Amino acid sequence: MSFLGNAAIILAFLVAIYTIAAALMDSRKNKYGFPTNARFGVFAVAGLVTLAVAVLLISLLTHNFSLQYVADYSSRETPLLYLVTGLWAGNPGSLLFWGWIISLSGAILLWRSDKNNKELMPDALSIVMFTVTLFLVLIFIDSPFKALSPVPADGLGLKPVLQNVGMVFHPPLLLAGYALFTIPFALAMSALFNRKTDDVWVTTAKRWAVAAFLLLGLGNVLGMWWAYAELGWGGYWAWDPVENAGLMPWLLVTAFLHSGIMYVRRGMFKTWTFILAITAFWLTIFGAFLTRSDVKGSVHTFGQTPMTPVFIVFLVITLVGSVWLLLDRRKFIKSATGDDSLVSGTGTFVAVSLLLVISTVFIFIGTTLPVFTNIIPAKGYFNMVNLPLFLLIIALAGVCVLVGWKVPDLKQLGKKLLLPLGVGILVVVALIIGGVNRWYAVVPFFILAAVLVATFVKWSADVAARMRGKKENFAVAFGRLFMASRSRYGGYIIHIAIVVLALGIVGSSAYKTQVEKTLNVGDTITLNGYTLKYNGFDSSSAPQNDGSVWLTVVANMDITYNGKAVGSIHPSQVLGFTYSGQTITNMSLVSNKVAIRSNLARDFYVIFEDFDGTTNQGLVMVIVNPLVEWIWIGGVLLLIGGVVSFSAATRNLTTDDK
Amino acid sequence: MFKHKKFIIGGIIVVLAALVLGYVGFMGVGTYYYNVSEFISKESTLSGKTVRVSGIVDSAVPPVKDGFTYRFTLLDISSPDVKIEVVYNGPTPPDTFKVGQQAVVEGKFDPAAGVFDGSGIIVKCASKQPAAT
Repeated sequence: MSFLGNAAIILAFLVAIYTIAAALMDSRKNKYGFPTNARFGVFAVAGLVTLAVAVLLISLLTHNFSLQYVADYSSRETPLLYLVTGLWAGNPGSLLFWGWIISLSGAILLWRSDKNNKELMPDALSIVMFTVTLFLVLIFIDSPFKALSPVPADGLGLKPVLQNVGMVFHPPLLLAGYALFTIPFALAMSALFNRKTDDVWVTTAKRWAVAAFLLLGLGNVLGMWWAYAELGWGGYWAWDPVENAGLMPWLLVTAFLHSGIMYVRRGMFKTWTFILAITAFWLTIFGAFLTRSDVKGSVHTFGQTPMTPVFIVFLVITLVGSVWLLLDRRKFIKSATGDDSLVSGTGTFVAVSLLLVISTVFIFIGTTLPVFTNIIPAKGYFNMVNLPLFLLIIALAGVCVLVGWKVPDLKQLGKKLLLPLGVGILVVVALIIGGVNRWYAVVPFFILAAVLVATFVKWSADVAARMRGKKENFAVAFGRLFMASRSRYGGYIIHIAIVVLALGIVGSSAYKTQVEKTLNVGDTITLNGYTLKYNGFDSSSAPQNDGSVWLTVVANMDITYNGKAVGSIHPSQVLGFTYSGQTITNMSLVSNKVAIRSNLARDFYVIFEDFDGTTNQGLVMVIVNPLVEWIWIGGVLLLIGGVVSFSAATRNLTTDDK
Repeated sequence: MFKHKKFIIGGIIVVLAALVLGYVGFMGVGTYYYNVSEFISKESTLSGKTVRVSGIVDSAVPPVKDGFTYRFTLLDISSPDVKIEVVYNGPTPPDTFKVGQQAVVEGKFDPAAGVFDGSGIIVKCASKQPAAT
């Protein structure tokens, strides 16, 4: 299996190099104007990388421990689902998966190319193939096909914290999102190279960017959910470099999508759109480098992996190459001139993409600072900068849907804003009466309410206009309008999703309360109406295959809310002990299960942090996290909106809506 | 072309505001980060300040759990002779905390006891390590 996997990777590398040469130089074109040999090459690379993935997957499923990777990330006891997720559980596997999605994307791009974008294909696919070679080289350095000898009887198994549904989908969604954005970048480069700076590259890139946006967004939300439910520290976002590596590309892809709409509709800010395509792609690769270089582990070990030179060479080539190309071709990028006002569709679109870039720059600085200095910025740094920026972006989303595209009628706008602002004020009054009076919660809630209402006002105005115009009833008008402009209404659903997500984030940041206490058996903790009674713990030990002993400690607790019994909860810990004779040589946490009682208003979150075996005391953290559930609901809406947007054919934008 | 001026002015205002906020946030509780030998050489100036120290958990002296207190020794990554004693009070260290592996401990130096008083052990992304051995 090792041989087969390695052979597929080496062969894919050689074919990819050949394909780049053939795409650039071969003059024998097929009927689509694409060099015939290179066409075979693109499909052959996709096939070979698919073969490598199949080899690894079969090895995982058949417990072929002659591969180091299989022995490291699975065991005979690993459930089937987690055998499959073993594919991306480790660094070598995740690189293979990433490269695989890029190679498939290249094949799909070529397969779906038509007479409009065929001129872009040879150069775009050369860049896709070049990116695939990066991953093939990385896979070769840190190979999932490394042979293990002697072959062990059993593998180490997948870490228990990774055996969670969130971990099944979170990594592949993020990896696929990163991989898909290779295509918009490749198209941008090809457009510059061929001096074809018209709409075609953007309209071709749009669906890829929407898909990347959707996958990255869902991947991030699932990562938050996993951190919250499984890692068990009571939060969902820590501005960790690994998290930031997922967030930054998502922000720039969002900026690219908005800028791209302006590029096509108004023919404006073209250079800006190119810059966003370049930087968003660059950050996906930079993120891969960052997360595989252990920034947080130590300043001093940063980048001390054999992969570093490869990453640096690739990052430098893509950055220098794309910037040079952009500068060299600047005279071919003719942005339309317009006298669009600041408060207009155009204005808000520019402002949104600008704010997203500013936010990304600050996150980038904070994330890379530990690489160059020995300072780790506090979470406060990220929150102070980004939360106001994000709120401003959300507020603009509300203004954006209500204003006209070029020069709005400000009187009209004033009228349209009455209802959203009115509802916003009512919400504020209700909140203050209800005792929610912290300004950093009230201001965001006002904005969120107003934006939500603004979005519905615009949507119902569209439907009402159609009902009058086409004499249709509400359901028919709504349905037909929705189907005809899925791109727009998918976007609106995504806006609503972001508002709902923000609702959860604001609620749980502004009103999170927690108590940490050492409890004797029979002690209670009271927090926000909840009372927790600690009844001690049960423990049991089980010997493991590797000679260690796992001690499972399950706490027994009863909860009441405002005097009414809610039930019992059992947060737990599993500790692993390694012995040498009678002495313990190692002790480490295997897993930590928190107990969460959720409803739409709040989560009651209990961590059994530690225990004392002699006194039966427990160290318990109790957290009341308001509105957290709305984050996950926002994630579901994001999925729906993303799928609706994605389902919209690209032609809608170029013909119908223009 | 486009009424650029307004955008440039607006952009500058936003960037300045973000810079101010970033500065305020940054001055809040940014943490300094040292390896064991750097920390020891700066010990006198650092007592009472919260810092993060990164090192290898000594396998010769396995961590001891006594009630909610954990005691272990952190070795410098490049020169393992340089070490500090750490006393850390629960919660249980995260699953990435293992003897012979790298750990990052946040806390303060306690000059009276001559030990590093840990208040937290930093969790690394679990996906970056193979399963327990």
